[in-house]
Order: sequence, then C-alpha cells, then structure tokens
Amino acid sequence: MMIMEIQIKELRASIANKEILKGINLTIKQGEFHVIMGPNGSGKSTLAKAIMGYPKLKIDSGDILVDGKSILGLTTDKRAELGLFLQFQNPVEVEGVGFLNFLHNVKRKSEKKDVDIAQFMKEVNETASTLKMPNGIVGRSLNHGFSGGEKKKAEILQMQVLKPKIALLDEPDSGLDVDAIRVVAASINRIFEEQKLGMLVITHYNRILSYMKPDFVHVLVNGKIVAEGNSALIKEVEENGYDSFMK
Amino acid sequence: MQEKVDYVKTILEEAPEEQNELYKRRFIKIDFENFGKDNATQSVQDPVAFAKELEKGANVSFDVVMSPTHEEIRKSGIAKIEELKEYEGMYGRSEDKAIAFSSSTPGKLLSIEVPQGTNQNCNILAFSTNEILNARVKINVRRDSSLNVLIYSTSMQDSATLNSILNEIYLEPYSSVEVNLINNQCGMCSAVSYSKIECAANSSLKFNAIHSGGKVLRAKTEINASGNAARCNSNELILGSGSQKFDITTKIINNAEHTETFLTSKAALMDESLCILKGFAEIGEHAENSKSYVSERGILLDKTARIETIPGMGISNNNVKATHSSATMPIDSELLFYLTSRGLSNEDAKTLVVSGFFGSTISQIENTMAMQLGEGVIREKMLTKDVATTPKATLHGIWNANAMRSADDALLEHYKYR
Repeated sequence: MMIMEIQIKELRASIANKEILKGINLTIKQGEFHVIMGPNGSGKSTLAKAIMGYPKLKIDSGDILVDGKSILGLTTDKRAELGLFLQFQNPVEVEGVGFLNFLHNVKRKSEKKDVDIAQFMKEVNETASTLKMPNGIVGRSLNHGFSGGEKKKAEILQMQVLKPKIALLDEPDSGLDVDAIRVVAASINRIFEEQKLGMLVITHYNRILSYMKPDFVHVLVNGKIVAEGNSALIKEVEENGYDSFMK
Repeated sequence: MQEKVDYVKTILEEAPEEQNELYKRRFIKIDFENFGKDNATQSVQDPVAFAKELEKGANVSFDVVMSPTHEEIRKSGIAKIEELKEYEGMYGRSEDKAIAFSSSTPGKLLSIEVPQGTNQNCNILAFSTNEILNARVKINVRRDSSLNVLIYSTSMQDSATLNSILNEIYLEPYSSVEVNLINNQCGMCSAVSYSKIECAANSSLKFNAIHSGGKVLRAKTEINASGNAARCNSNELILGSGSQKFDITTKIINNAEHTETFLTSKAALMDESLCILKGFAEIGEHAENSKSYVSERGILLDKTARIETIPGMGISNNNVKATHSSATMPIDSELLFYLTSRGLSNEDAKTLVVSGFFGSTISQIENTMAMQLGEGVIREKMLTKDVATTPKATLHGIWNANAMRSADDALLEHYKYR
C-alpha cells in the first residue's frame, strides 16, 4: 500500500489582506501522529483550512503537496477525494438532511460504489455507541440540535466511517467535559491504531494530549512553527506557557 | 387561436393592479406576446403519448388526464369533465384579467364530488400543448369525508403557450383535504395557477404547492377558514432557475372562532431567477381565539437571483395569536465548505442544502405519488438547472430525515429539551 504524504512548503496565506500563515513548513505521513499547539489566533485552524482549500483564504506563496503533487489548484471536494479529512471546530448544522443518509451518500461517493446500507448502519451505530452518543442521534438532521460535545463526537464518527488517509482534527477537545474528552481521545487513538492514518491534532491545551501519544509536536505562534519535538514539548508548554516561544 | 391570444393581451393590460405604481414593483406581468406565434414548435404533438411517457418515466399513474385536445377519466364515480362556458364559480370576473380570460374562453371544467362519509383520492395530470390549456377544477368535499388530490400541471416541450388552472375547493364541516399542487411547465410556457378554498366548521386543509416551472408563473391562493375551528395549513415551495419569474400571492383568512391558518413559503433561486412572495394573513372581527402565522424564507443560490418577501397581516380582533416573519439569505459559504470537505461537489452540496431546506415540507406530504413527483422535480432541477425537468422514479431518501415529524418533535430533539 502506498503511504500518503502531505508536504507544506513555506506556506503563506492571508484572509482579507491580513497575513495569517507566515511561512509554514510541515510534513505529515500516513501512520504519523502530529500535534500542533499554539495560543489563540496563532493560525492553527487557518492552517487546517488551508490544507482543505478554504475558499476565503488566499494562498500568497508556498505550496501544499500530496504525494509530490500540488493540490493548490484542487477544489475542496477533490482534496477530500484524495483522502484528506477535516474535523471542524464548529461543525455547521444542516436542518432537514438526515445524518445517516448524508453519511451514506458521502460514503458511496468516496467508495465510488454502492454501500450496503444494513452493514453501514451497523458500523455507524456501533461507532456512535463507542462514542457514548445518545440513542437515535444518527437518525436526526446533520448536527441539528446537537450539543457542542455531540457535534465533536459526530465529527469523530464521520472520520471513523469515511476512513481518510490523513485527518486534520481542529480542537477535538474544545467544549467537552472531562468524561467526554476521555471518550473522544480513546476513539481517536483507536481509529489511529486501526486505520493507520496520518493525524494532525490541533489544540490549545494538553488536556486531551494526556490521553494521547503523539510522534511529533509542533508549536505554532504568530503564523510560524517556532518549536518542534516529541511529547516532551507538551510538558514544556504546560510548564512555561507560550510566552517563552514568543520571544 | 390568434383571436384568443389578442383577447388575453388586452384584458391583462387593463388589470387594475398593473395601473398602481406601488404594486407595479411587486407584480410580474405575464408576457402574452408570444403565445401561439412562430417560436412555438409547430411539430405534431401527441398528448396521449406524452401522458404515457410521463407516467412511465416517473412510475406514476394519474386518475384524470386533461389537455387542450385530449382528456381521460380513469377513475369514474367522483370526477367528470365538461366544456367550460361562461363560468365564474368562486371567482369574480372583475378581480383579475386572468380570471376574466378563463371565464370567457372555451376550456375544460373538471368537477370532483366526494360523497359524504367517504375517503377518496384523485391524481390529476393537466398539461398544455401548442394550444392554451384553460382549465377549472371544482372540488366539493362533503361532510365527514376526506380527499387527497394531486394536480400535476406541466406542458409539452416548446409549448410557448399559457397553462391556466383555476381551482375552487369547498370543504364541508368535519371534512379533511390534502391538496398537492405541482407546477412544472416548460421554460417557454407562462403559467397561471389560482386556488380559492373555503373551509367550513371543523374541517381540515393541508395545501402543498411546489412551483418549479414556467417562464413566468403567477400563483394566487386564497384560503378562507370560514367555519368555527377550521384548520388550514399552506406550504409553498418555489425553485427557480434561468430567468424564471414567480409572482406568488397567498392570502389566509380567519373568519370564525378558534380557527387556525398557517402559511409557510420557502423559495430557493438559482441564476437570474426572481420570486416575489406576498403572504397575507387576514383575521376577521369574528375570529375570536384564532391563530395565524405567515412565514417566508428564501435562499439565494447565486448572486444574481432575487427574492422579495412581503409578509403582511390585517387583524380586526384583539383576542387572537398572530405573527409573521421573513428571512432571505445567500447560501452559507461555511456550509458549502463543510459539505464539500466531505467529498461532495459544490453542486451536490447545493442540492443537499436545498433538499434539506424543502425536506421538512416534502416529507410531510401524505400522498406518496405527490411526494415522489415533487422530490423528483426538485432533484432533477437542481442537478440539471433546466426550468422544467421530467421527474424520475427515484426516491433518494434524504427527505426521510424529517418524515412524519411535527414541529414539536423537532424542538424536542434539541439537546436542551431532550
């Protein structure tokens, strides 16, 4: 099996003429577990959105390569077809569109063949149960009326079912209580182990990271990666905050 | 034919509302210039073959087929068709030139009589050919009976004519009716779709209209809850593309105690299409303890599309509950980004958003055939952007998300109310 690799080279990006990303270099391979930490407004979510082709974002220079080929010219759906997945920090609510039916349609599209609905429902229900989601929630409209925690869990459920090659998780822990953080972290770890995907977890805090074992940790400050290392870096951030990286 | 066209042109130019400067801005004229002229295809059109092909493609079967040159009644007993001559019915000839035209021009009158204490359904196909379709549908639902009716109004391809249907429906006490009206005429056809409905005491009406076709479509609906405790629910869906123009006027009237009338209009427009939604609730002085609301919603799928919502109310009794609201917005770019990030193309994502927007209305249609046709019309139009599309016999399933859910159910599903 070919291992997917995403390379971000000297990426500079702006929104409404304000530069947010100021020369990012990062490589993520399938099977690697990366974490990006950073203070509010440092550009973490923007980086994830840039990888997925957020239309309001202007790429000023640099490149994003998947398996050596630039994806800057690809629309968001084409990037998803390559195997990229973005877990949204604030997933939108889509009233009237059934969660299960939506997911089934997306799955059929990604698999490019029909997907047995009974088998698919079984997998979705099992994953929902593992994530301790309320009974019957997958029968409702997509994210509509979900609590903040349920939305996060629903995103993880989608990741499990769609089986991406590289997943970008934008603050999977924000808005979750302590029990839910444990459940979500366990699910992310399980999916990482089972599916051998590449993963980039974006977070402010080390709360969720206490349940995870990332291979690489990056600190993003003011649009630049200012420190890289292993899990030891998380401890350093916890003890000293981000101030020491801003100097 | 030419004589008929000239007549329509003359009377419409004299319509009183067209003389009013304020109303002009919110009134779409029907262009009668091209009726019957050279740009209509003069090829031989076979209405029998058209009806058969449509039924086969959509996997449906109609009980009544009406066209200018052909008619069939396959369900004997409750329906009959006769020639329309100098007929006015519930409509006053002077109130609108289209009505005056319909009243004075030869056409078809379909009468449906639902006997007391019976449950009936009737699915009607009405289409225009190269010639104008001038049809009246008169429905009388007797006491303690129910009727589910579908009126699928369309036109043969390239028929640059007028498709005019005027409905009048009487609900006797304790009767129940679901009316499903689907307008899916071709892009050269102008359409007039009027309905007047009278609801007697303790009767129940559900009026669902899907307006999708026609170069210009003018729909006027007047629902009068004239008997105590009558309940009327009107849902309108408008889907426009190209340069289509929709002029939709709906009036709901509470005229007796404990009556409930609700109007929900939803429009989704593409390209350069235009829709004017004029919803008005009138509560009479005798409508003590009645309820009424008007809700108008619009989604603009392209920057050049335009929706004007004009909700209004006239209340003559202080002891009532009434409200109205309206909101129009462009399609949410964050929503599109979210859906496309899952692998859906931009067009598929828009289709999904519109499906969801219309879904709560479509899924509550009890008439399966109407639901299937309505869904097919909307889905095909979203995928092809053609003004009129032939609905296909596919039921995709996304509508079922809200199937048989009441508004209370939807509220209770919110995490705060579980």
